[in-house]
Amino acid sequence: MTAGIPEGWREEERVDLRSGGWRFYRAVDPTFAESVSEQNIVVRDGERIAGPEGIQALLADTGAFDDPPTGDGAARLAEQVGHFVVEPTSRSSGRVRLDPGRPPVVRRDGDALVLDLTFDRDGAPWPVTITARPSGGVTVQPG
Amino acid sequence: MSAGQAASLASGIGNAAFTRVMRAPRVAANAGAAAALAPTGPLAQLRDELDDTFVNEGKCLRLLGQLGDGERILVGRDATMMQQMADAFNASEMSRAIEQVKLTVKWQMHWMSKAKGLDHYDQGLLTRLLEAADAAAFGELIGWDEVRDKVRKAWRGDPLELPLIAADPASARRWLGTAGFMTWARERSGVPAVVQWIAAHDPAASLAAIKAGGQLAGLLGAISDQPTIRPQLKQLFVAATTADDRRQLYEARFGTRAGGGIDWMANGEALWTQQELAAGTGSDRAAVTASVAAGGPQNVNAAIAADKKSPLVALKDELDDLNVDEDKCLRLIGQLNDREALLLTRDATLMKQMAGAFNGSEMSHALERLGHLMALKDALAWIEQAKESGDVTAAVTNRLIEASNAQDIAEVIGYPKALTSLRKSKGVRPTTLTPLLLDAGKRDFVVQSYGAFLDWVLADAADVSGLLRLVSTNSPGTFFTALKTSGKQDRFITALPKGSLMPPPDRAALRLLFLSGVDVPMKIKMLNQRYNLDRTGEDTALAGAGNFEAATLDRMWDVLDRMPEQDLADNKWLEQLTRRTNPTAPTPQGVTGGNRVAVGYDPAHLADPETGAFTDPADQMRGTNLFDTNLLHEMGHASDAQYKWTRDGGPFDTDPALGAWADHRLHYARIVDRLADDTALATTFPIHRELNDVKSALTDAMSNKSVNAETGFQNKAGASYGVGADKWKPLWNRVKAHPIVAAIQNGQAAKSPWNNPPAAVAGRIYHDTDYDYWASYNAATRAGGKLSRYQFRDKRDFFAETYATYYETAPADPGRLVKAWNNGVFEWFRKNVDRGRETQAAP
Repeated sequence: MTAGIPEGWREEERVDLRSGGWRFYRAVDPTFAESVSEQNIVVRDGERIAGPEGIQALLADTGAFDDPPTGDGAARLAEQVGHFVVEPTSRSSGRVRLDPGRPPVVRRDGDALVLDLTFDRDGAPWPVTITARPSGGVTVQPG
Repeated sequence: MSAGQAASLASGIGNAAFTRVMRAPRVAANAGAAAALAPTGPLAQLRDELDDTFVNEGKCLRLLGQLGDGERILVGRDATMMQQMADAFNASEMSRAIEQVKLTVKWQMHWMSKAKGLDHYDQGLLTRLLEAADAAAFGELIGWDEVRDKVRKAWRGDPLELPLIAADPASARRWLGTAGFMTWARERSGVPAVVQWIAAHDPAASLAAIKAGGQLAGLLGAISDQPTIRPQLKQLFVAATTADDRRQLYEARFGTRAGGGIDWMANGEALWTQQELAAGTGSDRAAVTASVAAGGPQNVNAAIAADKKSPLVALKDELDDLNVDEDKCLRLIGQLNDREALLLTRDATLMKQMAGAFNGSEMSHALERLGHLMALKDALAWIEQAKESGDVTAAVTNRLIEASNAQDIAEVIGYPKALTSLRKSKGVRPTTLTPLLLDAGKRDFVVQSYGAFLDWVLADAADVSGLLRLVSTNSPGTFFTALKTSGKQDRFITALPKGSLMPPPDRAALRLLFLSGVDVPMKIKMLNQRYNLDRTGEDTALAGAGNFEAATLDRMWDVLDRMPEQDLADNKWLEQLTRRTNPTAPTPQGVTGGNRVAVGYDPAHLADPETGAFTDPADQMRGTNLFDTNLLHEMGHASDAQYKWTRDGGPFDTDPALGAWADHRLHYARIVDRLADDTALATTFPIHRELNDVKSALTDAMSNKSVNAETGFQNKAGASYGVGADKWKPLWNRVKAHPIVAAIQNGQAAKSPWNNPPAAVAGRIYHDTDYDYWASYNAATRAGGKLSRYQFRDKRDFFAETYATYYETAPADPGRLVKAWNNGVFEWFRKNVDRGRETQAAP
């Protein structure tokens, strides 16, 4: 059983997002035991990691602080980060999908790395800005 | 109304008028018609149960608690159902049923008496029903001789103490002009109380009304002198407009026959005053106390020394005898002037001797002569000293209480001996201590300082309800605090009937009390009691958000109040209402599962309207309250968990109006086969082998969740795609404009097809739910648009979003937005989920 995947849930890995020990999954509960029956799960070196701590570690491990990606690299990083910030809810789906009309932007702002991302949630744009510093501290600001 | 009928009606009267007609609340003329409107609803079930040979009374009571307001009225009007309940229920069951049905007090009493004689019912219930009646209803009761007399005999309370009598003196004096009510008042309240009431409520008008009704002569003939009513007798005397009435009052007051030649109208008042001065009687306690303090004898012995002919001499002598002549004592007490009477009440020895000698009846007589000069607590303690508590007449006790103020009663409650006597007194209950209960400050002091008072209330659940209703409209906020301070709040709240068994008046009263306070644990206790929840608080699985705030609980109560009882209070699946973390803040979210509904929210954003978080501009849910709909959405899932609305093979799978949802699993080849049949793919590919190849390639694309179906053909061909004799590229070129391709590509989850649906195929829309299965539903279901982006993801969320939208507009107009979107779905919800709750009774 994959670490972090709830027992009995079906996992689906985004293999294209693999990076070193990082794995990105979407899991679905086929029994619909709860009204939220899907999760985005990130695993690093076999252990589940979530929240700002996970984003900080990902950005550090992938070298984004040192060399902010652009183009396809930015899109790939955005989808990886999306697994931390796109939260499936009882009233919205959780598949991580970038809004095709709004390419992600990864930029520096002083010592901070800023990710201006827009995901597609149920067919509507969902913008979110992530600000992270190498020294620590991650903020996630939807809208 | 069928779709055809609706269309015909709409074309006949115009669309605007049609909309108004269709939005009108459903009205039923009788219970049978209302039951037919919701065949699975509680009313229909209740009728069915009552028709059984062996009635399940508990089930009936639960169903009664689930009825909507209109249905409660209709049941009350249905003589057959009421008779069936009267036949089936015992007194306890009828007590619980009677407040669930909307009836006027005469019918309440009538049907209760049909089930069991009224003397089998709790006095608190009878009191509560009488106190809740308005003037018209109470007048009807008085006018129905048979029922009124049953009430008069069974209810031991004082009719003149009913709040209505004080609130509406014009009606009360008119009722006192009837034989029925005058008899009741004289019997239960006592003649002195009637005199006191007349004196306190425009004596001239009251005497005139009583006289007009032919009741004055009888009343005057029944009056006898009692120190407690001497000031009031004089007020009546002054207000009397005929010489004969004045003469009768004078003779009653002074116990003598008046001689002839007196001009009662011109000189009567002076004569009265002269007589009082001569006898040294007629003053109240404060005046007599002041007079004694000003000088003269200060105790019985001094009074005897000052006046050897004082009746105190003989009284003291008699009380010293081994065999006391009680009648003689009472006669002597009646001869005392005010000062002597006051000094007697202060003499511990003589009072103890009288207490030892008198029985209940004699104590009653003695109190009629001395009680007005005693503090209430001393009078009651004296009764207890005599061991006659409970044997003193209700009229005397009531008069003592009525003459007291809130402070006097508070002192009684703080004085155990007096409280013991009070609790044993006939017809006295904590909820009949009107002077205390009207004074919120004193009331709250007693509640928080004297635990014995709440213990008294808690001894009878009827008193808990009674007190709750009284305080809910008289400074509930301070009572809330006092109750909390008392430490007995949990016992108080849990003494109320739980969930749907709670009578509607208690529900309304508890809500007012709940809203008036801010103490979260106490509010949660109330919420749990009202909605029959095991726990409300922080979620254990998604912990970190803390507990609900008071303001959030207030909002939640009013949201939950919109829902049917069977979905909440009688939802066996639902056990907990919890607060979860909210990573999507400020947008709220929730989760339902594990027998709980959990909601996450930002308390600073409870009033936020939906502006796009879950809706597109034209969606019906746009503009609704985000927090409310979030909670209601989860409650919809909870209803689904209990009643399995969206179960496989259930109505959402079979009813075309609801979409006739189908679960195609991940059987891609079968889905392609079906789509191919329904799009006549064989017409484009008449050669069987080619048709199979195309379907195979489309199946490949589908199984890879590709939004570009050509990938399926590319996969089949491999590197040779479009090269040389490759057959796949030509097949793609022939099929790419065919409707089946658009259906497959646009139904992929990556395109959020629940929000951006692909074109229908044979009247159905197919899409990948992204939950490990493809679904399809009738395209007509979304012909009128949608409620939200997420509504059509799958049937479970279709139900939950519709549920949230339906109750978002309750109670004013349940389902208004659903109806505006899809009348078929609205009608199904109204019939099956709401089950008659919104039905109104025809006038």
